[in-house]
Amino acid sequence: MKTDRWQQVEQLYHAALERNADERSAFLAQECAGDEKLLREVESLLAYSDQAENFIESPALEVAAKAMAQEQGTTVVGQTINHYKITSPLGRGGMGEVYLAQDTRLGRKVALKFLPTHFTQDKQHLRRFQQEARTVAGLSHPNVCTVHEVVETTDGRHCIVMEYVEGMTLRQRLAQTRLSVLKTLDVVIQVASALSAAHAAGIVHRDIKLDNIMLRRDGYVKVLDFGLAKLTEHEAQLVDSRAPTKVIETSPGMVMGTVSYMSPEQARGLAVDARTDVWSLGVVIYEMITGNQPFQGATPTDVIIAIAERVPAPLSQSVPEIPTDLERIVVRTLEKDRTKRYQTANELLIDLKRLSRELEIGSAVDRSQQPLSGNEAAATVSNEQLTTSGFLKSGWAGNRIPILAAFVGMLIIGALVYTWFFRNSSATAPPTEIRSLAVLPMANLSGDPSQDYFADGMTETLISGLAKVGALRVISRTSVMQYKGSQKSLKEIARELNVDAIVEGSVQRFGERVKISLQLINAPSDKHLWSGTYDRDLRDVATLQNEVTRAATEAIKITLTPQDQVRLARANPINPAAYDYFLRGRFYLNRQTKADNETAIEMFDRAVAADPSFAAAHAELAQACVWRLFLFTPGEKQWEEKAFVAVEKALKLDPDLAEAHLARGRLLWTPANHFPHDKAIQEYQRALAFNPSLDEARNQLALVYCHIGLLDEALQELEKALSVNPSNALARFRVGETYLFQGKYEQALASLRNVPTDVNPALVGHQTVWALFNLGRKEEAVTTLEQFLRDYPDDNRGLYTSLQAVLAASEGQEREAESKIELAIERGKGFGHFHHTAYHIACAYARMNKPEQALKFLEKAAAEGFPCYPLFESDSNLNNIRQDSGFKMFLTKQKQQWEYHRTNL
Amino acid sequence: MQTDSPKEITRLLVAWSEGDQSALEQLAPLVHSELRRLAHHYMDRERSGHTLQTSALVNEAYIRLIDWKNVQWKNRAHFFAVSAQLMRRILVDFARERQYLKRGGGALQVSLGEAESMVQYHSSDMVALDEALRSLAKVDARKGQVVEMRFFGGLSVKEVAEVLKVSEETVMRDWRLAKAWLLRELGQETSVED
Repeated sequence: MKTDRWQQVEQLYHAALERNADERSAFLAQECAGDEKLLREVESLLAYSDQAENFIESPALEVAAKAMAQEQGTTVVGQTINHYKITSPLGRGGMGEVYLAQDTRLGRKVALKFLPTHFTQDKQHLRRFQQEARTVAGLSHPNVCTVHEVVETTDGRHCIVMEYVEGMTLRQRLAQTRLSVLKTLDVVIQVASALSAAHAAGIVHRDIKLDNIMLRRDGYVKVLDFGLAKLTEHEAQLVDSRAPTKVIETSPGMVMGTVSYMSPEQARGLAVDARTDVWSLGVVIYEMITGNQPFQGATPTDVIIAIAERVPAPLSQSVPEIPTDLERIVVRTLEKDRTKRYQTANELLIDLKRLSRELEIGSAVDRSQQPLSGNEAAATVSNEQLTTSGFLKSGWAGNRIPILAAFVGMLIIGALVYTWFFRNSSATAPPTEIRSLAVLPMANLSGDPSQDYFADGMTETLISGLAKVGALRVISRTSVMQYKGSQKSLKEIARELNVDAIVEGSVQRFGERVKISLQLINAPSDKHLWSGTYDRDLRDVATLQNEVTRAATEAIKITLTPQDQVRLARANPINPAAYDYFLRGRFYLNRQTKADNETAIEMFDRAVAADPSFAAAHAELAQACVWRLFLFTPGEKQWEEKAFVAVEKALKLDPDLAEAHLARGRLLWTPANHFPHDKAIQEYQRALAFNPSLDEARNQLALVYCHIGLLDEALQELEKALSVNPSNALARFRVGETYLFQGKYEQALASLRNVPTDVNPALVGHQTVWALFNLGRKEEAVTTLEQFLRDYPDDNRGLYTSLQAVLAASEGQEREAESKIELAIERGKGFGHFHHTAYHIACAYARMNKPEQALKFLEKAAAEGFPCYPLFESDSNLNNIRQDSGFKMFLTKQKQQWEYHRTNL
Repeated sequence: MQTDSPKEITRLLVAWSEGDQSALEQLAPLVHSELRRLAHHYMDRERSGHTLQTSALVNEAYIRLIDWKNVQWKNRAHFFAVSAQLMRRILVDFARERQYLKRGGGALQVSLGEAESMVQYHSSDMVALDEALRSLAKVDARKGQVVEMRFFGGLSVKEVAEVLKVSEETVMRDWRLAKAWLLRELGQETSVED
């Protein structure tokens, strides 16, 4: 085209454009005047004029920029940043695009997240972010996506190198199907756990939302982008000075997702703390349950207004069957006033775990109520066998009491210590000192009652583990067992047991796995202090041990004395088969019937046969034989021998075994051995040194003290025994008896009346009669006595017969008294345990003014195990012989011995 | 490096404008990288709702690309022209790369216009536009320059007028006709392709 011709086209084009569209044709036809080519040229250009209006008005740079931004994925792939070779794009979020890369140095997959440049331009914010990233990198928690480092690329961009999490975001997951309440809790608990750890390290997430929660295929939940929100903080601060609505107006493209999870204080641009994460997690829970966000609106502004003002519809409106506790939890996370919210993620975590456990128990109960199909029944049976062998192979148990005791004990101790520490460091919660606790019988969640022994064994194991901590008073097994299946509230139970805290939990065995859930509750406030779930393959004990030990020892250093640490440190592996017999044996032993006692002895026999080095099993075998001897078949000497052998084996294997010392003390302090008080006291004191909460050892110690006249000391021990085991009936009886020896008959009677009647009526009855008699209530005494002899005509120690003698003597019926004395002596012959009968006979003779005979029986009583000087010194039944020189000499001698005992024992 | 970029770009631009063709070799990747950075900046801000004025990115790009303070006033017009040329080269190369990738399956749509009713152009159109612009330059060199400076260089009408030493009205007229001409050219090509 020639230049002048082109100029012509140009001129005509602009001239035509200046005219109205309907005039153009006529104008051009006239101007071109038959030059068809020129006319077509101008007309064809004019045809494009309207379209051309907007054409290429945006600079190419802008067009290209969009393209460049989008094509990043393809161009960055293949690049190497430091030692990270980028292999493929993973996606992009609000905080930059993410790539999968290979860490060529460590040979692992990592995720690289490129941070938007405008977030990293402010050097100060960048530095703060890097600091935070380092803190997060130091945060080793299974639910926190690990940050390896932050690197700067050669073109000045920053990228976070982090753990590669394979799976999908919670948002993606929820887009598929809604999750069940239990699964929801499982996910949320893991998030809360991550937050709890982060908060403890001083890190607030600030941006908890569905997109930042990743679900791994193996069920692990990972929380992403910890601390990343800090980069955008300056924007939030800008927001602060303006009205909330204006903020949103300035950011029309602001992603709804981000606004929806903001806490009210965050939306207002105020400084945020851990409680903002609690709120955001509440929004997440709400969304997971209902499928909708709690605060909605057409625009971000509307959402913000909803956050600030509106109370979300209850969960039950969308999901009517929702547990009310979950509703309550969500309501508390979404309190507009953050002081009314859960103050820490940990508090929320505790409630979530409790609820989860309750629901699990509920569903387990539901399951157990359904009849098993044939296959399931078969599986259960074989599971039991498998579990046993798997469990046994693993070597959980220690040489002395099982490792499990130490492990579970450490868990709790660790948790307690953590709780103390945490609570003390938390400004919001007043520090609570926990000095006493009760472990309630752990629920057997296997759905198989034959597994009760396992749950009970775990409970007992846990109790003995905890009992080793000197500073803690731990309620004994017998006292807590009464609460098995109890409907009482924890508060009531705690009040009854007089404890600061309660540990409750459940045990579940499925095949080769065991799941133990525990929680610690502050009793007065009903506040959960700690909870933990341990789901393990029984064979993974080595790992588990390390894991638990590592977790617990650190905490243990804080409050445990070196002595406690020594007590807890021991854990020698034993033959696992033996451990199962051991648990079964203990289960039967605790039932305290003759048949169960026989079964228990058989189980312990098997346990020590399977593992002759199992010290605790030897000790329990000894205990079982002692019970057999004392309670069921006193004449069968072989049990005493068997018991002695077992005790000595146990103590040879482990000299610090409390239960073995207790058994040895019992075996020593017998009529046949002439009641060696010093030796027995020594054994019981050792037992208590190794297990301060072993109430039976205290009771036995009090028994000895009581006999040798250390009455105040006896009462002290009994008080301690009862504080650990309020249902120790023998200790209650002993309190009454001690008062009796102190001449406090009213108190004695009150105490004795408090003893359950089914416990050793011979003991309780005779002292009740004695109290009544000394209170001058002779008729009642006689009636009680007669009733007892009707019920138990063979008064085998002559105790009641000797009481009849005293009663007769006090009435001046000497012949009757003499004849009863004779009968009592006859009945007490060969039994050995004659000292109480002897004392009554002495009293009867004293009443009859026969000092010589009285003294003879007093000396017998004292020599045969009952040198109770304070009683001899003050008992008015002996008043008639107090002037007797022989009695005076006797008393002087008794006093010396008593004083010796008092200062030396 | 980031802070050195503009200075280095300016130095290379000066060298290139003085006839040093090897300077372009170094210049292109530098500018490309800087543009990539800016592009990200732009996209991120757009995503977070900070929609930029049309010219903001371009202004920012030039401020960052060229160290204005060290460029003498008399060279300013020359720089506009040179940098527009440079940008055209880089952007068209980029588009050509994309076009290649597109054949490999990656779909990328970029709009050469802003109005919603505008035809959506593929990145191949940037290459086509470059070719059409070459044809236009043969018909009317100045109009080719106007398009180059306006579209690729992102210069304002006033700046283009300054470079070309014509009135702003002339630039506007050139611009208007050039766009219609290019569209017609592109429409014919498209119809041929279709």
